[in-house]
Amino acid sequence: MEITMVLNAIKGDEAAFEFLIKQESNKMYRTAFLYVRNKDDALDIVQETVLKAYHSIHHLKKPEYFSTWLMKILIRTAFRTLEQQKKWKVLDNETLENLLEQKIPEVTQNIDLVDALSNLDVKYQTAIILFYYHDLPIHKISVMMDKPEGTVKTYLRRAKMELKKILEGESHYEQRLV
Amino acid sequence: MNKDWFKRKVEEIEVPKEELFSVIDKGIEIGRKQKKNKKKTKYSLSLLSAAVMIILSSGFVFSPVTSVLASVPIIGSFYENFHRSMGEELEKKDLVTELNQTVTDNGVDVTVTSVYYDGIFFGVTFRASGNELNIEIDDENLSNYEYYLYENGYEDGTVKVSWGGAFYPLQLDGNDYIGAIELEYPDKELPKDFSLPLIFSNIGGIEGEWVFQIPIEQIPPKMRTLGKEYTTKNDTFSFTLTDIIIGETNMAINYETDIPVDVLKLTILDNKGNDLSSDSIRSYDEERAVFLTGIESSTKYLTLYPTDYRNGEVVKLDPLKIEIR
Repeated sequence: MEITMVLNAIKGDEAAFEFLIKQESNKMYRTAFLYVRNKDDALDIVQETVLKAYHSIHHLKKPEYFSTWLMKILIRTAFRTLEQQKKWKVLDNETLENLLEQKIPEVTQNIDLVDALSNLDVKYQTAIILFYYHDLPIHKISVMMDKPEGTVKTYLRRAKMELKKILEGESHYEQRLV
Repeated sequence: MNKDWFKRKVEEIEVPKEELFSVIDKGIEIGRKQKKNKKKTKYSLSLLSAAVMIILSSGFVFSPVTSVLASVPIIGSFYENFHRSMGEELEKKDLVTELNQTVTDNGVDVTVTSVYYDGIFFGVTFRASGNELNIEIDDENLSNYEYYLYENGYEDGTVKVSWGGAFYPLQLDGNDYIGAIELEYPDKELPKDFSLPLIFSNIGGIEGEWVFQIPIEQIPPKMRTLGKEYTTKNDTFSFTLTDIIIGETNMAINYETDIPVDVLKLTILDNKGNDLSSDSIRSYDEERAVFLTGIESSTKYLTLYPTDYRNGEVVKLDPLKIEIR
């Protein structure tokens, strides 16, 4: 990512903005997908993120933080989508029926990482995604999540433990998860 | 946990590339539209002041109206409402042609009070009056009049012409309302005896047709480079400069290129290395870019760097050196 290009985007150069967004787009999509686990919602989150970013890019003070800034917007947008989905689920008959039938996944079946993540609390998910997928250091995750570094470390530790529990049943994945 | 494993698993998530790019484009498009609506005042104001700047320093000679302006300071008092010192300067420098064309429809008089053309931009000021007019002036009500341009010869069902432009919302001035419009002429050269075909279709909520043919003095742009072909290319794209029009404080660059417009970017440096393009882009499309920038009289040449963004990198084509004569 070129700093001058971010500077251009901040100044209002739309081509630069679009280019930067598209450069980050795979990561944006996959991150959104990790939260909502379906294509349509993930695409919606990306679109809303682009719109928010478009309106607020001129507030971006440090161009080197473009990517972090963008992901922060995306994650917040994903949170909101998840909140809305929670409300919807109450009204969704099919989901209710499924829940009533207690559809428990077969233990012997591969549990996909995405599904495993979805079993975690959203703050644990976020810590894991930012640390393992986005490769961010703890202090940056702390800024993105608006939490002290100590809290982030706790989230990570607990998240890893929970993930381990879910995934280690499936020995075929990774011998040493934690 | 093993980061590589985690990443590998996440990267197994299939990305619907086409749909993804399409939602990104849509997000930008929605943003653009919302911004346009939200910022109309600011935008118009800044462009209007830019337009005034052009007149002040362009040095173009319009039809001499010195004595008239000195005694009837209509334009001066108009611009004073927005930019006091500039209005006064304009009056002194005679850079705007004063007009007094009035058209009446549905009880509303619209009078075009002044016009300028500086080689790229037109500026029009006008006054609206009538007992029926009662326009609330506030920040929310920015589109308090409507206008459009039409092709030569106005009649029913006339073809509307779309030019880039900006308008300044109506302001109360005594019992009347005053407004200003700035328009970018899309072609390279004005035809001889050109007049600006302007129709107001709505003034403060009152529908009507106020049709004007505003005569424009043909003012030659200060400088133009022509003749020699300037082409630069890389392994994929080529860029040919076909024409460049340079005023004191603005520049229009016409070109032919296969670089897609959404990735095309132009950087212009003068021979002292000053970047003229940064912060000055007014508009650009497949064939033309307009910069609100001037060049110093001592400038000997400009260097134009067309670039494209490819595979995550900026690719620069060899720069074009344009001699200024």
